[in-house]
Amino acid sequence: MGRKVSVPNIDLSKDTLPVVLGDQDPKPVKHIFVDLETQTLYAYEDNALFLEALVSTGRWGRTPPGEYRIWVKMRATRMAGGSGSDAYNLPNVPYVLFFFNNKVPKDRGYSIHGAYWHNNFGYEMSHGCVNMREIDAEKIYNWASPTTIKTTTYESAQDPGTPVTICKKMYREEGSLPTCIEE
Amino acid sequence: MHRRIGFIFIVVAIAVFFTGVVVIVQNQKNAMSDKAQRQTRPTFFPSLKNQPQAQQFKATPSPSPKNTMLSQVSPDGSMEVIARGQQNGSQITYDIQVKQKDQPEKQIFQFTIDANEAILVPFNTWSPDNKQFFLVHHTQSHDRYLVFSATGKEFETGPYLDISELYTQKEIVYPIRTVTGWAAPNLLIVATTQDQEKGPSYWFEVSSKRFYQLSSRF
Repeated sequence: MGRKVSVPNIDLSKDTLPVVLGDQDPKPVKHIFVDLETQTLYAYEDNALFLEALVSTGRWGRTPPGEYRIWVKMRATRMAGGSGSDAYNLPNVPYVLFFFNNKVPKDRGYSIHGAYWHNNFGYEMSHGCVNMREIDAEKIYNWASPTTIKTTTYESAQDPGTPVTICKKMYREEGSLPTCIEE
Repeated sequence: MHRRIGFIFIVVAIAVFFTGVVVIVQNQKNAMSDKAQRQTRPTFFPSLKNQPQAQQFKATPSPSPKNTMLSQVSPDGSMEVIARGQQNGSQITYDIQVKQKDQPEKQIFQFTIDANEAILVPFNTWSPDNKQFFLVHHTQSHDRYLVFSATGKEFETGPYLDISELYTQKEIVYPIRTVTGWAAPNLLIVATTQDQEKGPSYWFEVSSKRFYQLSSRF
């Protein structure tokens, strides 16, 4: 878009993995919900809220509602796309969780990730991804499945990715998972 | 002679009798009057029994300072802006401080404003490069949006930039609804109102103090 941004240095060779304190058995059921109306992400462990954070989704409805699953996590990656005045090329986008479903395949590149180039969370800002503050994205990245084992971690049959539900409008009640009232 | 003495005695006896009757009647009157007065006039030392505690003693009004603290970390977690308010009577003083991770707080500015106003720290207060932040001065009539340097360095015009004032000078017809946050390190997003709905949005470029109208409305 013709604007230059200062890019954070991320040396993946020196990146340390989070320490896992014990392993819960049975593992809690994790689920991420994104409410497009309120621009809020909720992360649940069973029926308990783990994280609530303001996000920035795609402008002009470019984040498609639906049921997704995380298929790969990357500590950092370059993101480029768009065209003309809308083109972007952003290195070292931190804490990236790519998600997909049958209608939105992996090569479309939708993800939840940290955004260092703006601070306007709670308002639509992106080209379709779910932008978060770096500190919030780091928490989700370290919490969500698949469990981080490398700087790039794919889901597997033994460690499937955390489900992601994106709704146009959401209903929430304490003690239970949110439900989409407009998909 | 005996007759005269007898007459005087009778007169004196009658006088004494009537005087006694008058005194007794007067005393009774006084007694009744006192009783009546005791029943109607307020008691000087009221009984404390069965009285609510609050009515027994009237506290002398004294200034009760109200302390508030608002803070917000930068998106990468490395910086924090803190607004500490202390109320004293009809005024409240806010100390604006910036804390860099693992370093002591640094005083940036101090506001003294009316107690019915407030300094607010928005969620998107920090610029993406952590070099600037903005605060909201909430008054009864409107909100002022103030930009500060994170180091406390003054702008050419003073310790902060008042976006609301600069916007008014531009004579743009749409009133400011809010400043939502930072589109980039040097660009704040100003949202406006038009016919009670979302009006055009603007970028406010801090370095040039200019406003640029956007095609999209926040």
